[in-house]
Amino acid sequence: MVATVIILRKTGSGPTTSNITSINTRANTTDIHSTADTTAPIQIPTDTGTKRSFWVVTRLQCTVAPASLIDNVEWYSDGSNTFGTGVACKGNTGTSYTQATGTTGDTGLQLTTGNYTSLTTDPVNVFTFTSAAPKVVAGSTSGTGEFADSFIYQTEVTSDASPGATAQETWTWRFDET
Amino acid sequence: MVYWIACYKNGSSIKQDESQNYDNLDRNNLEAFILMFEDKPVLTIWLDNKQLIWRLRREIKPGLGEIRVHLVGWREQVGGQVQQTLFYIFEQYDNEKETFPIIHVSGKFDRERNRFMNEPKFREFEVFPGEIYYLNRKVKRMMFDDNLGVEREVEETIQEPHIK
Repeated sequence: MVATVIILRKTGSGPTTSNITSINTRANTTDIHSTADTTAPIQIPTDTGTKRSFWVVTRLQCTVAPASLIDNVEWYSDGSNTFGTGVACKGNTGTSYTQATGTTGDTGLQLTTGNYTSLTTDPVNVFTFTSAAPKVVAGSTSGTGEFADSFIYQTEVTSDASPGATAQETWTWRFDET
Repeated sequence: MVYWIACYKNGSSIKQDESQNYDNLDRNNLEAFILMFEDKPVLTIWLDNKQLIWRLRREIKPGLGEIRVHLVGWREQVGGQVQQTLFYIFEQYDNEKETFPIIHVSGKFDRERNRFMNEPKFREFEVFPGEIYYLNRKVKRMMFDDNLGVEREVEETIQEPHIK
């Protein structure tokens, strides 16, 4: 039987896990998964500063085990930022979970290796991770449960951004199964 | 969906998910490896003592769905060089109904040509002497928990490269 693998978003102190395999999730300034929340937007800075979303922690979970193994896990974007002018997205893998914090409705704490200590290296522009050059996500599984490293990302907004919801981007998880 | 049947030289066969998984196939006595779709063979590989390779390659895009590709083929040594012949069987769907798959054939791993053509992490039985393969090992290690502010033990599976 083919393994059942879902994509989780992890939030809160628990943490709470939300299955986002078949839906979108919004990167805004609250540590709660939603598909369309508008009550906690990222503010557009009026100066040269940067406002950020709360970081978004995503990870794979196997709910039906593979016959043998899942490995060769990778993560990538489509390589093209269509969020719009003044909106960037940075991310990287991490080996454990750290709850996102910040000022709800304003800005999130910056995603750095200092603030998220298990981040493998400081976050980079996620659009550099493409199908031809994906981010390798360490880890594998032969059973059920969460597996492999998490991918954590954060949206950044500068003063030249436009108000309103951005266009939607799609991130891809890829892996091999036997 | 596409699935495989392994056929042995003694006439017996094993269907995917029955009794033995891919890792446990008796490769010394394997004669053919068949990819099936709706109970009909799509591709039959006669192994002739070549090294079988198979993976179900899965790509999940949240909110958009999943693409499944069966990487199947063989690897062999010819004149001291490793050569391989690889088939990529793309499962196809028309709305919810699965339709006949599309097959690509290639001789090398080349993800720039096609994003599904990246190299897998080889098992020991798929490589020849001097090549790298991966072993999986469960390890426990201490990790600092940012939320609790303490170190705690976590168990994870790591893959270690080895040279055959």
